[in-house]
Amino acid sequence: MRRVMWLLLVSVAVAAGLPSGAAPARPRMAMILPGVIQDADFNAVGYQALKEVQATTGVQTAHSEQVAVADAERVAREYLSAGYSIVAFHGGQYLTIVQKLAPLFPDATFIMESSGQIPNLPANVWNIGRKFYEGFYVLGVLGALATRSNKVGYIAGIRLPDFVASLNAVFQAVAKYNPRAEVLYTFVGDQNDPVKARQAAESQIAAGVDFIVISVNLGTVGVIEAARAARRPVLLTTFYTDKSSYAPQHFTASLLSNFGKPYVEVVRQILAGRRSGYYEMRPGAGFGLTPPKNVPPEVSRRVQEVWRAVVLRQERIEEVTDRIVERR
Amino acid sequence: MTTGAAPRGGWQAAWPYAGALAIALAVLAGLVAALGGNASEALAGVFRAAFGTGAGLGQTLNKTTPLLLGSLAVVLGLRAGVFNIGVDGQIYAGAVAATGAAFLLADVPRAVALPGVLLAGLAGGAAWGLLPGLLRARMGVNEIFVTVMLNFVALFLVEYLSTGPWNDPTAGEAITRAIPPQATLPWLFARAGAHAGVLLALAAAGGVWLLLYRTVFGYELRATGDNPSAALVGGVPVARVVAVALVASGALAGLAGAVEVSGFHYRLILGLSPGYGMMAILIAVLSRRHPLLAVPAALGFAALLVGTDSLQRSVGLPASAVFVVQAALLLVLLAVEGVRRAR
Amino acid sequence: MSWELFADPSLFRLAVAMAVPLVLASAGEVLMERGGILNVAVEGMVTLGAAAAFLAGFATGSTWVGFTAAAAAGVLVASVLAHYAVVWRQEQVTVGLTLYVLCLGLASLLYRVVVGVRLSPPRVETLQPVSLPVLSQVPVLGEVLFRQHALVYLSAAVVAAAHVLLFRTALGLRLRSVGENPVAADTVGVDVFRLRRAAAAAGGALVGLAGASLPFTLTGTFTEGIAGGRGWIALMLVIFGRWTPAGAAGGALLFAYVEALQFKLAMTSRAVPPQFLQMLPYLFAVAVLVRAYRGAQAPGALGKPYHREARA
Repeated sequence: MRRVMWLLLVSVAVAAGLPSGAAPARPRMAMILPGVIQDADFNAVGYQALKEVQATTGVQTAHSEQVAVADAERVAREYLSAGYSIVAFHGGQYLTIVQKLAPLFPDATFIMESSGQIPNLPANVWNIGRKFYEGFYVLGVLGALATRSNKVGYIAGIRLPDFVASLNAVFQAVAKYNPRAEVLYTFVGDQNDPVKARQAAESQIAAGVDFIVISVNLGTVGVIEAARAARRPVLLTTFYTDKSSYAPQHFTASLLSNFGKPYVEVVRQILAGRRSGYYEMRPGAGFGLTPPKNVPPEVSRRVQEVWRAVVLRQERIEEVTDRIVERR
Repeated sequence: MTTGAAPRGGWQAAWPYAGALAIALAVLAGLVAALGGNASEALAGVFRAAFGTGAGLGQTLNKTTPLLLGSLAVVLGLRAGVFNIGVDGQIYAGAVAATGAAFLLADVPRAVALPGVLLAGLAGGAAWGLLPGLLRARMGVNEIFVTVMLNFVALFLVEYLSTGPWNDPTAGEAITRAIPPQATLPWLFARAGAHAGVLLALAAAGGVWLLLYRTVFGYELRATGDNPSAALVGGVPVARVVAVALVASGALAGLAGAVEVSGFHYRLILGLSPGYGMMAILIAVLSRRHPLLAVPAALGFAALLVGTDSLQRSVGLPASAVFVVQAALLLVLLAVEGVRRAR
Repeated sequence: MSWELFADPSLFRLAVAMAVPLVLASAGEVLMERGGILNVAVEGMVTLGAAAAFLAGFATGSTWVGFTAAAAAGVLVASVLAHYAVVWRQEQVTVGLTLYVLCLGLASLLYRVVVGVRLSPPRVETLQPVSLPVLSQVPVLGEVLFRQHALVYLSAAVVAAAHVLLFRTALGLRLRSVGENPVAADTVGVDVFRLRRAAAAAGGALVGLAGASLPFTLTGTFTEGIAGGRGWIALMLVIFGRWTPAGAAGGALLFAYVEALQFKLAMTSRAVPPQFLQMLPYLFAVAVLVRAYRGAQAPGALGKPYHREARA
């Protein structure tokens, strides 16, 4: 790690002495992450993707974690002036910064993440659109088939469009696969507050929920504790990483994110000279499902069938990001 | 705490600062060593990152802006004898108002739009200072609690706006649509990425100094802060002075929010203030509640923020370590002062 | 919406559990303020207590060690504050705010140094509910009060003990006199400095325990911002409870109830955006504070340093 800093310093010195535009022979890539890489969650999978890029493409990599939006531009500029030619932003909150920096640094290529296609991006920006809702639809199907109380819970943090779309997908899944069941949802206002997540989960469990689709990050541990303290069995699902080892008897399935897939592909394209484009991350392309546990085998089988149908785009799922459409 | 117009000059006053700074750097070096890094390399890296490159210097100036405006807000409150712990909330309130104004002023020229946005920021922050000001003036309710509680309220308001009515659906995050270009602050140094907000902050420091030391209101305000009962006897409308001080304090913080929106993010973002309010308190105390001394103190804290960022990458120093260093610096200063007093 | 929504036993059950950190922290703060020391670092101390408890518990595998570490951290910070306030006669709010920031930073730093970088957040075992014999069988009340984790019962005992100490013992009388009128206390031979420091240490221990209750009863982990404003709320509850542990505990239950209600309302009512419901507890706190201030009488010497030579 110390070497990285020296590299930075040396390259600053070198860059200062060279005429601008002299790109290093071997491209280097930096990733900016919003949280800590040991979160066993969104940031961990981003970091894994970066390591995978390094292993498969030979590009040298560096990363900065826990970069607040207010600091991301500065950090990116530091990498750019140190000669990094690929700068990736793990998260959609850095959109402005990408739009601002890309025209200023035409020799560098930027990678960003978002909810889908963005019009008028600069010519040196790759956009990875993440379609979480298609994955959450399948978790909704699992909830619809596995609930005994006919109450499926959904706990999210901030009311982001991605999670609104995911909640709507859960509504659609439950309406189609178990019309008698209802969906109770809570947005607790913070992805990483386990105390609030626990309170929300306790409220849902008290209201009869026995299956919770978790859509928070570090808040997940709070939901787990609520499930463990519950007097009736409560099943849980999670996303990004497999967290079933925390509570083996409570977790059924995890919606896994493999950011390595889009990132390796995008970096390969950049190395081949294509410096802008769009990669869609969806079931089968960066999202995977672990085989459902703690549910009857026929439920597990049906859910995996639906998953395959979603991968092949044979299941109709509506993407609604701006409002919650409750279905009964 | 000294209450005079200017702190005592000369080396006598300076040595505790030098000592405290040395101890703070020692704390930082210790932290780096504890995390397995090379302390002297790391300290050199801090200075190089903050001042060594154009981009670094530009970002140090950008960071100075909210820190200086925030600490001026705290200074103004402290001089009136009130603690404004709600700078973060007021920054967000100012940012909300500024963003709203920018959307409303989408079709007017920059000469109107930009001042409008900045004034809206002032107004938004002032509005957030109004409730604690009134409650304190009318009922004697401690402003510390009210300002802290309003921090949470402001955060939820920003979350609502940035994910709801003003959300930019393409980003998939808690950020609003971009404000129109004529509502943005011009560059100070375009290549370094430094916006002109720092000039506003410096002007505000001068303005606060003028207000405090060259106006009747400033005299009344200082009198209230030094000894409210004596001020009351002397005919100062203490309750009103305190309320106005909190409103003005909020306005300064609100301006910081407006500058962050119009100079840096070009939109309203949840996470716009990563603890500026807390650091503003430390800077205000460090500068001995003097608006002009807040300038170097804010610059120093900004440099520390930018500089230690490089340590995050090299030795994995967590972002929060900066708080430890800054607070340790202040504790040492307070201790030096305390030992002198106890003699 | 019917009244049943507000009287749901599960709501009260959750409120009782969630009140624990508030009860402990406000009881600690009452002790400190009764002795004349205003501690505005509570939020930071709760956070540091949570970190210390979690890290010690994680390193040793023992809940007891965790609680001890949290109490020790609380005592340490409170003693630093008391030293600045008592011996160096520094402005307590200034020192308190500095310590608040220091504690927040230290908590995350310690976590990072001890836990390091790993791919999954470590966890400690949480206290599970203990059903009290006979009592837990009482309809409704048994569910709400007597099927809780051990810290709920301990908090109740702490409040009772603090109340008795303050208002039924000679030591309590001396402590209150120190906070009310140190000059008078000094003249009758009470050691003002020593008692203030002792009260601060005892209070600090309770605030630290409040922090420990978060990982050990609610989450099993430490996260930045785990205190979530509860320290500030505890400070407010002291005023609400008119500087009595029982009054503050009552306020804690009320606040925790509003918090729990907010989550229930968020599930049932769709008309109001969730963010506005989330503001409720904080706006409620302000409203309560305004009400509490009517006729509230703080200890006479609260926040003021005692300068022996300077006394009249």
